Amino acid sequence: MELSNSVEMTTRAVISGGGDPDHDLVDRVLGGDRQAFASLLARHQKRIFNFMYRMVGERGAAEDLTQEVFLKVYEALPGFRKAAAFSTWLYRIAHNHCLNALKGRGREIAVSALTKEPANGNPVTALVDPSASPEERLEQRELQAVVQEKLAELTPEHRAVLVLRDIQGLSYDEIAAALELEDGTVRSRLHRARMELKERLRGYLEL
Amino acid sequence: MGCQDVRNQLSAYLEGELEVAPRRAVEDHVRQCVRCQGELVLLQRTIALLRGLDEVEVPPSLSTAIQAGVRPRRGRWWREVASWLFFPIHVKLPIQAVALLLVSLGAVYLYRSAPEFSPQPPVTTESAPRSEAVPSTAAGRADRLDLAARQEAAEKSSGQREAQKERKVPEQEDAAARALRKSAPESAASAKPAEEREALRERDIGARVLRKEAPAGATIAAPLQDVMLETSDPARAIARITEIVSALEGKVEVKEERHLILMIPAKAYSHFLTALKDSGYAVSPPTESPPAPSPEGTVTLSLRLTP
Repeated sequence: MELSNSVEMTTRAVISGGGDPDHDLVDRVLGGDRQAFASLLARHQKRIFNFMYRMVGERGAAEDLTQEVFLKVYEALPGFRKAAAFSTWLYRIAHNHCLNALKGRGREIAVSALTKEPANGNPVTALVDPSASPEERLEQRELQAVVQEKLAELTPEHRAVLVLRDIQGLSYDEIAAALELEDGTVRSRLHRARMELKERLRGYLEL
Repeated sequence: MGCQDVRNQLSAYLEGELEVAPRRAVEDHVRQCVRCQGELVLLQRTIALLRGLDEVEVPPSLSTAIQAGVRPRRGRWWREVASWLFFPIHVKLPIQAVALLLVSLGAVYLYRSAPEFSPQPPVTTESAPRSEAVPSTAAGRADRLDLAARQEAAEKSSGQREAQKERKVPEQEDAAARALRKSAPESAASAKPAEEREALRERDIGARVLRKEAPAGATIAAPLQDVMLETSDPARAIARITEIVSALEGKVEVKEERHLILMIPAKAYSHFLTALKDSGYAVSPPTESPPAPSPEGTVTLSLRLTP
């Protein structure tokens, strides 16, 4: 829980806050400063890459999509109005791009993710207790793989709110802005997604 | 609060978003309902599992690949050119529209003021002795060189503006001169050798006059405007012309030694030209189309013989 809190704080520090430092970087990029783009990339690529990874469940596909998103962002940068945080705008592009890719590729990505990327992809190490016995650690890794697997079975819309809220720690407002939804819609969709995932994990969660 | 109501509130309850009253209602229900208590625990574990998932490390190559895929902000050359030409649109397009309009107006003005393009009175074009008229719709140079075809076309032709243009184009004049030379042996086949040489010389002179000296607005349409005929032997030329005109039931009035007034029936005008041509003479400017006839149907020419 401490970890999730720290992630949330970090996220909010970047996303919100007056005088978004990203805005200055955006201006510099538009002025032809490539180093500023490198800075933007360094600040945001990890979260976008993780978002993509949780959405598609495969590192290679997540890499490709992340790259495409940042190239798209670079091209679209002149159209960025600084009314919103840069990260929100970035998430919106990433989310739309991801949904389009998932629709384009059908269930291919999601299905491949279920089988090709077990725990050795190091996605869920936080769930592995270092002090646990090898048997326990194996069991925890398997559980992490199951979480990713069940996550991939949800609709992309449900998966997106779970990733943004419970994994990446965005606020409801930020999610609403990124997904272009009403605040109440975000809450109800989040609840349904959690309940659905809970049902799919029931066999693994009951003690 | 029933089980379903409570379960609908579980997510908000775990987020701490419920007001005091609904929060207590959920808590009271969960204490008493084992099944809803179990659902709450499962939901807590589900969320904990999600929040416990660690971030995946970004492959080091990703950043490099992205930056390599990004082109310099300046953009491609054609975008820069397009930007330079058209942007901002609200400024540059009106300027370009006005410029285009001005250029168009200038072109129209030039077209109208240039003598090459201005309407001219009818004029004949051909110095070749055999020609009677010029085909106004002659499609190409080859047609112009074909004298037989030209003669046929001349019978149908009524326009004269093309002829005016044709007369002014040196290339076409050259063609006419070549055609003239080409036809010389044929037309002079029956002439005596001395006459033949004279005729050829006069034709060449006619071609040169046609090429270099024909005034832009020259016409024989106006009655009594001088028409030149080059000859080294005025007496013989007068005799031959008189013979031709008489045969055509016209009249010749010798004003001076080298100045004749010819009155020819309009219907016989083309025959006059043909006969003149066959005799090895050419008039300048070339008189292919008959000048305006008088009410009596007579064409009057003021013919000056030049050495």
